[in-house]
Amino acid sequence: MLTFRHWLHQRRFQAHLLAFALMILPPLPLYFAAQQGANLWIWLLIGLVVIGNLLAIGVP
Amino acid sequence: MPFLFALLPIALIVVLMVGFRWGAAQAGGVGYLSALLIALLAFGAGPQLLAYAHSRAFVLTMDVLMIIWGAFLLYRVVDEAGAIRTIGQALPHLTADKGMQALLIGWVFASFLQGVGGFGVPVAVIAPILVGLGFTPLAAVVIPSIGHGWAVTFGSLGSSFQALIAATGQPAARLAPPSALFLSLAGVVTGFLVVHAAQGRPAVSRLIFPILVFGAVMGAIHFLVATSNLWNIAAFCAGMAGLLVALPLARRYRGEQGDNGLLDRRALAIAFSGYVVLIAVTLAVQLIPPLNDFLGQVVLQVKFPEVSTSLGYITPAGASRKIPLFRHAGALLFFTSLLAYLIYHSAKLYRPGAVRRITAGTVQRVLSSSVSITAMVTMAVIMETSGMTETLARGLAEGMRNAYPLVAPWIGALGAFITGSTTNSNVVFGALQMRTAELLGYRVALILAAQTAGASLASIMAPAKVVVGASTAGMAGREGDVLRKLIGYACLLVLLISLLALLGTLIPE
Repeated sequence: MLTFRHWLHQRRFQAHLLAFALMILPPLPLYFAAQQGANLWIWLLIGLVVIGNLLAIGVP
Repeated sequence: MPFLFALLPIALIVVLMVGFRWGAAQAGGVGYLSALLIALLAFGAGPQLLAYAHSRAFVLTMDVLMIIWGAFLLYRVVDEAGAIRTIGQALPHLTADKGMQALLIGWVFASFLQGVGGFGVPVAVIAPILVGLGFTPLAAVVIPSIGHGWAVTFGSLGSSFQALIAATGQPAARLAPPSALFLSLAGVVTGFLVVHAAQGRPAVSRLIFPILVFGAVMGAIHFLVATSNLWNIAAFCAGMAGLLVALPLARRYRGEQGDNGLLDRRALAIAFSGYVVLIAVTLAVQLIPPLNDFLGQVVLQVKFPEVSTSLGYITPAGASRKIPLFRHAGALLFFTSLLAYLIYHSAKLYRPGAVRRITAGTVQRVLSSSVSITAMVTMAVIMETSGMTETLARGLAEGMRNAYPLVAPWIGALGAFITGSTTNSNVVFGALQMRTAELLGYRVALILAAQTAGASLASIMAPAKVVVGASTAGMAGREGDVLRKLIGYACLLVLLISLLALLGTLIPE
C-alpha cells in the first residue's frame, strides 16, 4: 500500500489530471441519461466520478 | 439523527484537514463520497436526483473554475515577465520607515496582489521582501497575512464572490453592497493591526494619519467598484488606488536612515501595464454595449426538471445560472492575459520558453485546487438537492435563533480555516447559511455577507496558507508560531463582522 501511494505521489500531476477528468466529464452524459431514465448508465457514470474522487483521496 | 447524518460530510472534512492535516483535494473526495452515500441511504436520493445533482454541480464548478484558471494565468503572464519582482523591489525604495514599509508593502501591496492573484500569492511574494528589509521572519509572514485578508472575497478577480453567487443563486447586485461594506470597514481596521503586528502600539499612534488615509481610499474604492457591477475587480482597484495614494505619501516618512533611495519609474510603469490592460478590458466590456452584446452571444444555461427524494424533499424545476462564455469574468481574464503577454513580449521581458513555463506553471498550480473545488461543489449540491442542507439549516435555526447573525461569520470562518479557501467555504456553507437565514427571517444578503466576510478574514490563518507563507520566509517547521500569532488578529476581525451583522439586523430594510 505504501509503495502504491509512493508511486502515486511520484505521479501526482497525472493522478490529479485523471481524477479531475473523471470528476468533470461524466456530468454531461449523466444529464442525458437522467432525461432518458437510463438508470444503469447513471450508476456507471456516477461510478466513474466515485473512482475520480477515490483517486484524489489516494494521492498523498 | 438526520441532523448528525447531514453534518457528517462537513465534519469529516474538518477532522481530516485539521486533525489529520489532509489536503483539500483528499478531504473533498471523502466529503463527496460520504455525502453521496448518506444521500442514498439516509435521505432517499434516487439515481435521477443524483444524476441531475452532478450535472448542476458541473455548471457551478465551471462558473468558479473559469475565474480561477484565468486569474492564475494572468498572474503567471505578469510574473514570468518579472513584473511582480520589479514592483516588489521598487516599493521599499519609497520609504525607509519600518512602520510605513509594513503598511505600504504588507497591507496596500498585499491587497493589490490579492486583487489580481490570490491563492497564497500575497504572502509568498511579500514575506521574502520583508525579510530582506530587516523584519523578523515571523513578522514577515504575519504582516502580509493580516494585510490581505479583507481583500479576499473580491480578490482573485472575484472568484470567491462568484462562488457565493453560484452556490446560492442570489444576484450579485443584492449580495455586493453588504459584503463590500463589511469588508471595507474590516480593511480599515486591518491597517491598524498590520502596524501593531510590525511595531507595536506606539507605531499605531504615530501612523494613524496614513492608516486612515489609505484605509479610507481603499475602502471607498472597494465599496464603490463592488457595488457598480464591477465586483470582479473591486479588490484590485482598491489595491491600485491604495498604491497611487501611498506612493507620494510614503516618501514623507523617511525613517531612521533619512534616505528613501531611487525609484525606477519607467520599469514600474511597464510592470503595472498588464494590470492597466485588465482595467481597460473590464471597463470596455461593461461600458461599450455593442461589445458587451457581441461577447454575450454564446450562453451556457441548463434547464433542470423537478426532482424529489423518497422522503418527499422536492427541488423545484429551474434553469441554472446563465454563463456567457466569452463575457464571463474568466474569459475576460484570458483576453487580458493574451494582451498583457503581447505587451511584455514587445518590451522584451520574456526569456525563451516563456509560453511553455507560463502554461505549465498555470496548469500545475490550478490542477489540485480544481480537483478540490469540483469535489466540494458536487458534495454541496448533493447535500442541497437531497435535503441534507435543509436538515442542517433547520437544526441550526432551532439552536441559534436570535444569536444567528453573531454566529454566521464564524461558520464562514470555520469553512475557510478547514478548506484553506474562501471560495470553498462559500461553496460548502453558502446554501446552508441562506436557508437558515430564510427560516429565521433574517435578510439573506446580510447573512451571506457575514459568511463571505468571516471566511475571507479567517482564511489568513488557514493551515494551507500558513504553510505556504512560512516556507517562503524560511520558517518551515515553525508554522505553529505563525498560527499562534495570527489567531488573535483574525478572531478580532471576525468578531468585528459578527457585531456588524448584528447591527445590520437592527436596521430596517
